[in-house]
Amino acid sequence: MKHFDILTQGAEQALTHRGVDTEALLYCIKCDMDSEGLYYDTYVTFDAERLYTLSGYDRQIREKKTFRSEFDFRGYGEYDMSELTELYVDRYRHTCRLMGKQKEGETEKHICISRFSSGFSEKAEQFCRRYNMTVKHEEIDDTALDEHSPYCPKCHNRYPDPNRKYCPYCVKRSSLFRRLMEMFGDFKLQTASILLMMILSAALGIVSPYFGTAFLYDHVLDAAGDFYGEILFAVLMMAGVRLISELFGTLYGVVFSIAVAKVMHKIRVKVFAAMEKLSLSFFTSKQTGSLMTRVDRDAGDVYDFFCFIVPQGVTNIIRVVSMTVLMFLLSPTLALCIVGMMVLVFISEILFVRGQRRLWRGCNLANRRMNSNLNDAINGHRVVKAFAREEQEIHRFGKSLGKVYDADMARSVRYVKFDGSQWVIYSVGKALITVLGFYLVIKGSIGIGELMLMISYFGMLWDPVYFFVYAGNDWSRCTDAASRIFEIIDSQPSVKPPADPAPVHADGLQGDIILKNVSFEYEAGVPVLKNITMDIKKGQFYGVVGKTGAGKSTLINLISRLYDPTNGEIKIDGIPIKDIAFDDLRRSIGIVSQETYLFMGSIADNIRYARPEATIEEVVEAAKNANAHDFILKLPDGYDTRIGSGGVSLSGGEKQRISIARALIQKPNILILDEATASMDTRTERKIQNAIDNLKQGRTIIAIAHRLSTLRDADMLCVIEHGEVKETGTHDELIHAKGKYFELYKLQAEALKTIGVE
Amino acid sequence: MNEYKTENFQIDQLRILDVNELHFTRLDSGYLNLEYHGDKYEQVSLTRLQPFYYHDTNISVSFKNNEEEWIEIGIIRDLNEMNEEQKKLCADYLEFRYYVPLLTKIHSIRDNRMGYLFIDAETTAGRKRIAVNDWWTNFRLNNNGILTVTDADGNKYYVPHPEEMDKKSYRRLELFM
Repeated sequence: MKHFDILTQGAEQALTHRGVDTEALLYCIKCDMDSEGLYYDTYVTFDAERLYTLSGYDRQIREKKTFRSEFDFRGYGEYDMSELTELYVDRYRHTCRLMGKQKEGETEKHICISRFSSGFSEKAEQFCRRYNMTVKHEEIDDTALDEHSPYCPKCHNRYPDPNRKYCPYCVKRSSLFRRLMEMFGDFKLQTASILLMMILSAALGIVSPYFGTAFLYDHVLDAAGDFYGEILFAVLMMAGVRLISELFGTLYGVVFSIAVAKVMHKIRVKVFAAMEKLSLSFFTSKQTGSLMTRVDRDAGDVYDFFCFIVPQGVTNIIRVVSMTVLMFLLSPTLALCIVGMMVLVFISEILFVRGQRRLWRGCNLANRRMNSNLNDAINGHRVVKAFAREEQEIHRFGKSLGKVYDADMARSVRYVKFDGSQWVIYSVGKALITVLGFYLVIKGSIGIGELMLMISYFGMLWDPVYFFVYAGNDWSRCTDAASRIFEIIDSQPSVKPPADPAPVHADGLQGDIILKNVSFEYEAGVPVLKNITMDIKKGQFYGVVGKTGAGKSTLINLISRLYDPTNGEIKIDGIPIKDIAFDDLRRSIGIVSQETYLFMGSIADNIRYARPEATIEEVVEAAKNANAHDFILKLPDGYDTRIGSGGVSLSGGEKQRISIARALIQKPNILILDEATASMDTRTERKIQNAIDNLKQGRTIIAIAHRLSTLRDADMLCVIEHGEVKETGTHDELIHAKGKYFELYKLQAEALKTIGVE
Repeated sequence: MNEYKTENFQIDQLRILDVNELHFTRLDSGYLNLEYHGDKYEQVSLTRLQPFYYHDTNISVSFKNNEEEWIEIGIIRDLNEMNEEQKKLCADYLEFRYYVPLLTKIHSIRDNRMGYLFIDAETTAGRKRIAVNDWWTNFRLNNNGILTVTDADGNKYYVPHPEEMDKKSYRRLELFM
């Protein structure tokens, strides 16, 4: 038994105890609630003959370093498959029930087998399907489940996102650190350069106070010093060190700027390239904003790791260690006082930051709410004005702004108070060290110059302390961003290109399309297409009709392999589409969908998007075929008119005509029109219909339309309803059959009558 | 063809159900059947129009037609207008349908700083460790003061009035509201 949940040792023993052969069990799920809604563990499992339920509480007993599983038994049940003929999931708002249809003589009754939280519904649906297939002795194909197990192999919890093998329960930050370090391979030159500059700068920073303090007071101004009276030499030394330090500073700035640009570029390209390789399902499951954040902000946070956290961490460690060693060499007593004081400062900073984090979060939350309100009001300004609700929006925005003010004030006031107290600690600490130092000078333990040097080091130690206090936050932000970036890099496309693509005709695919028992579901247990079988011949104009949500567009997505069917097979020219290289497939299929998207750039560039090498004559020809040429000529810069952000705005119908031209320029052998003329007026639609008629020669055209008039010339029509093919035939055949197509046809005819069109 | 004309052109209108004519029966499976003005409906569904605000008023009653589409029969304005037996039947059904564990005490909230929060909480269904991804989206405080928490598996939990929880629990939750 490999799917779906694993029986714990305790549960397995409890089943064995009741005579169940656990070796023969096929599938198992664990439900989490009793009928009263209390958490309760119920295993539901079945073999080839019976379904078993085992209820109670799973307990993990700690034994030294391992855990022993125990099952606190409460209930057991078994059902014969010949009586329990079907399982299904009954969904409520936040919970579900696993229901069964049980035969009782001639009648059938519904029984509740167990209850569970709605998060378990997907696996329960899959479990039900497998049970029902076992009852009917149907063959079960678990290849997809074997390939993409949605459960963590360590803790057996379900991955929150089945397409992402990321288990929040098991992942450790240390593993992320390891992976980030592996990325160093790509940026080692940049990081090493920054590190080198920082170390040199830190070394100079440690050395430079020496010339202005110990060297000046103890060797130049002291009569017993080696360089007594050589003021010019001392000044030159101080100026020289300062000059070298400035030179390194400038050099560091140059190296850093180059490194930052390179690192940012590489990370962003890496994330974007990984994203582009993923299937459509990845993009539809994520918000555009969140994906843009990953390329932009998350890449920036990861770059912090390479350019700030690692180099500054290393240099600050070197600075703290070397200054501490030097101070202990100069005066252990004074050094001990300084280090003790720094430890106290560090602890107080940590405590402050912990409290401040709460206020930061509050600010963040208030700002996000304020931005959402602003976004809402600006995007919806037409509605605001139409309903004269300006005052209400001003009040709403003012309220959210007030919350930002309050949160900012709370944070700032606390910071100012703490900063003041830290300044007092610093001043008092410095005074104490100075007093103690002078006492040691008078005693002759250290020289005056050495005391000055130690006071300088005391001041210099504050920066590393601050760095280590705040590095925790930067590191957290970086790991958070890195986990999101690795999510994209690790994601596998759900639609994979064939390992060994089948050879296709030199002119591309010819357009004989066969769908055999094709089923598909976006969400487990919610079938969108059920057992679809179609035979579309080369050169045919094939119309697909059906209500909104019937599954027409999904069918197109499967034929163009934007998704793979859950069951069944699609063949083009006799080759399973899973064996056709993406390039061959997409080159042969041109799609005009209901949602048109045009890129920023000129109209000509948009038309030749799929074939950048197309000549201007080909662009114009495609535009003419799509009935777009005339309106393009009326635009200020003709085919060079810029569209998209900052450019000319086009109407829905104009955009759609350009997208038709974009599909036509590919000269595809298979042309798919998914409500392509929906937002056009009847006259334009008719023109495009004529254009499509011209293109029919030797081309397979699949067209989806609500308006049956659009499909009047179709060679074959197919009616889809609730994901199933209801009828297939020519217009005349379907009218004579007086079925679903006839109903739709009459409905549209009635609608035209009511507006006076006979 | 009249039925199609009706489907196409008739405008949906609010239909308030006469509570005296409603007769619900509960099956062993938990489903409700309904008889209304002589029409019989099997496995009807009751839906609160404003589940956060009103539990007993404005309840939509619907059934599944042969094409597996939910069709609304009408709306019960107030369950309290029904007789005791019928009212209890509907209230029990709604209680079951809208059942959601409530968070009563927060033992700890740990942020793993990799996009997940782990909440160790006491709920009305028992103690639970809840993993929440992207708390900004999955912690929602509505205008009625009910905090909804959605975990990584898609399960929901409510906190009816977070400020009424014990101080420690409230302080832990407050950060995310």
